[in-house]
Amino acid sequence: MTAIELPKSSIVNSYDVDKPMSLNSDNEWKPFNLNASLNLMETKTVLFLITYNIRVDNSQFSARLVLENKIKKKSVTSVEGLKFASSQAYVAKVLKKGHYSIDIQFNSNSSNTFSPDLRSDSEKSHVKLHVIELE
Amino acid sequence: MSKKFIENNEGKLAKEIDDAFGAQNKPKEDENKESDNLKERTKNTHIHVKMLKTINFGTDKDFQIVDGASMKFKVDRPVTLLAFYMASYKLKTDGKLNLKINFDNRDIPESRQGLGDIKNGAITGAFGENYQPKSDDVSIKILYDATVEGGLNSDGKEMNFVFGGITFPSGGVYKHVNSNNLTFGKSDTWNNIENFTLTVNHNGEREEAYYLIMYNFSFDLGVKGEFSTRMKLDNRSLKETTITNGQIDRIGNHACTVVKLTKGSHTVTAQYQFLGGSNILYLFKILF
Repeated sequence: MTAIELPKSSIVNSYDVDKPMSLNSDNEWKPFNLNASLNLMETKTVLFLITYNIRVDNSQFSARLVLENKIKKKSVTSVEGLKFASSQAYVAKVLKKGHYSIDIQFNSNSSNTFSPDLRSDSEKSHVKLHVIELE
Repeated sequence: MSKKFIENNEGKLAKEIDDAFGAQNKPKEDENKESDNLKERTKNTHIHVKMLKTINFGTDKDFQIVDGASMKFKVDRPVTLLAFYMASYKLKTDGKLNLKINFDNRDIPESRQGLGDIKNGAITGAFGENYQPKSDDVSIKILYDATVEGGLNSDGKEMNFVFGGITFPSGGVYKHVNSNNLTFGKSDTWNNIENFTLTVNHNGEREEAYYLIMYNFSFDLGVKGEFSTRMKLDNRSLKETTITNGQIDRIGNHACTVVKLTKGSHTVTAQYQFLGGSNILYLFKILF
């Protein structure tokens, strides 16, 4: 395990997917509708952390970051053949002053429904996005 | 357009309007033509990230450099480095793939991750450390070891290979690395992993600070089961770090989150849950 202190100027915002959602996206990319955004008053280096653990029962599952309606192709993670699809993505980018909408999209053929219970300690399924303004 | 024409073609026109607006709302490919080799910086924070378009995994040797997965960059002041790799790949048949970071010509044990036997997998690994500048550029390389041939073609959809590092002003970096065998029993509740605790002493000038905290586990499970890991900070479960694996021989669990720590000592504990198997204790040999 490692702990890394972030710069003094860091600002962190975190978002969870908290509503049930069908995972079958019919071979299309579907948004998690995180309702996340970033309002930068100056140019900044921003680090996005995406962590997910979703029961898919061996189905295919892919996820990617969408920033201001643009796909961040470096953020793609994809897995198939496991009971849980899980991954950690790191996406770093220097962003200019302005407002940015942020979302995570997924593409899956799982017939499961993602039903996170954020209050339950035993719940294993989750989708989390951290948006870290480093400087 | 006459009223009669609209009435007769109402459905078709509605679909054309929906399609037109749908196309506008559909995310576009990265329009800024972001380079596959991304080097960006603000004053004290630098990004060095590279995406490889095509990779082939062979089975010839033990660990070898992923073709093209090497980069060098200059560090001219003391920094904290966060280095990482992300691979979403396809093997020809079910097999094992292991990846690790070589930083500044040193293998980084805690960055090693493996998964298998599986055909289409996703592996992420990362590490952090404080780095003092030297005269030479620093290097980051990603090495792999595969039991089955395979590869990937970063297509923005299913496959991807990205690696690199971010440097920012030096702060505290705390580590706990374990290379001993660990024993796990069947458990449907969360248990602490023995001898796997990280103490973070936030004692800098700031009353509170944000920390990235992460864990890496990779070992052979050896039995069919569902193995979950997560971290706990003091008395708070960090549920967003839960990763579940199993039904395969080799598992690799990695997760990272951000926490705010106040001045003083904090304890990060690794926890596990193990469903399946039988009621005996399993001795898992840590591979890396």
